[in-house]
Amino acid sequence: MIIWTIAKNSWVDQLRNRFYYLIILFGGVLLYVSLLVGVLAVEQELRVLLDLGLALIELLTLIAAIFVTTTSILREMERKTIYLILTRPVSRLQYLLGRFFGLLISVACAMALMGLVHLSVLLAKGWKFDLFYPLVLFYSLLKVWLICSLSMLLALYASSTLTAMSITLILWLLGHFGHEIAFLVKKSAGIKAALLQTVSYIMPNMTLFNLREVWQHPDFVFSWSVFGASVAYALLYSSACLFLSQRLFNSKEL
Amino acid sequence: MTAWIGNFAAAALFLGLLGMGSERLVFWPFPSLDKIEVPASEAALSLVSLSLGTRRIGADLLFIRMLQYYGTPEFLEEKEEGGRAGEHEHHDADFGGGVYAELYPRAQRILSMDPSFRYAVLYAATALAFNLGRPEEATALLRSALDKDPRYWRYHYHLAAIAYQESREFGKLAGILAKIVDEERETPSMLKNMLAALYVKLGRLEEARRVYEMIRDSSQDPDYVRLAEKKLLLLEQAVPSQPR
Repeated sequence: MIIWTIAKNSWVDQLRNRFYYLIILFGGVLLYVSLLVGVLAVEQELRVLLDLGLALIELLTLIAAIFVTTTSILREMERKTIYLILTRPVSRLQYLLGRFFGLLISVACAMALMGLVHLSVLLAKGWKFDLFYPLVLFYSLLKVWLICSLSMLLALYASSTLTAMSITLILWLLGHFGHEIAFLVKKSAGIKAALLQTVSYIMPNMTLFNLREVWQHPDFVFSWSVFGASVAYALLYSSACLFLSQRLFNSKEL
Repeated sequence: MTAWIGNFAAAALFLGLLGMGSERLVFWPFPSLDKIEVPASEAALSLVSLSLGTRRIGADLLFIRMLQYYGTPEFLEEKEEGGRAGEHEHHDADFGGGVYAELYPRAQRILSMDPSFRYAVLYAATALAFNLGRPEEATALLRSALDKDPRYWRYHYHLAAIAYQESREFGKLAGILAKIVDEERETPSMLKNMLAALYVKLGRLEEARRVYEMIRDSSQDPDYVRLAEKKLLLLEQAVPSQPR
């Protein structure tokens, strides 16, 4: 209950944040730009619209999420407003989880809003609705979910917004290089290969959630077991990050 | 501090095991880095696409650049310098001729970014085989595409069409092209236009009219729509259509 109250407050706080609206507005502008780019692809306009739109929704939500995660707790700590919450019967874990879930709700809302705009553009252009579309957005949300927990951990560890943001972005990029790192592992040998392999395992595996890249591939087959495993991966990975965040947060002297 | 290191090590071990298990779940039909060949001018675009996990967008942008390349009249600058400024080579009935030496490597690059971009392959193969007279490049492109997407029947038919074109068996060529062409968005209007022109050449005007009507009604390319309207008008003048 306490977690939910903090999450709700956190969400309302995000709704008051101008940056949040800026991102959604920017999303609208970029979707408009993708319309123009789509025209250049002539008979493949729908494909381009679909690809660009889905990627932009994901990337913009990611930027918003990283920015908000890394700034919100640190800002409250700097301004000492965190005392207003922690002096009440609220544990640090509850505070952390409330903030995290509040952020996730606002990210999901932004994603749904941009998805609706994108979907209406696609339908207006003659695209036939595919049930995979909401699933692709859900997978993107899982990606952002995972990266939010990671950036929260980094923000608490680094105590610097900029450092946390930069490292999170690097991890995001590396997470998409899973197959390329595997390729490098094959080309390397000895300790270098072992080190690369270990790092690639610890990195968040973003390709697992990259459904928007593969769902239209002729050989792609949807499997509920893979879906369940992907959700479980996101849950477990973010739980591990939240666990570490909580340990860090507990050890901090506010 | 020791407790913190212990926590961190435990989490890293847990995440490592998780990562090891997750690797098997990924469906990733894209070629590895060593299979992607890009010139320096497109290296940045490819790198950004790969880093952000947006290979399809990379392929889309390469495709748009290929369309712009093939849609821009060759040697235009030289002509304008030679005193014929403003006189452009318009896309017309048999447009698409020229050299366009970069078309084949550009199509291969698209294929290496996204092996399932069938339209781009069919588009480039049609241009190479039937407009630019380079069936060997078209065949090589289709064979590379078939290596990655062996069950796509249109590639097989396209290869057969190129063979008929080479042996100048135009009746059979029309037959095989008719199988490839339908109202699906995967078939480039260029190919439909080819078939219609072939029907006209063979004197099968009613079939030509049907294909031009298909282009007029379903193509998203305004150039081909205008061309089809023009051709339909000419056909109407030559052979008035029967009231349906």
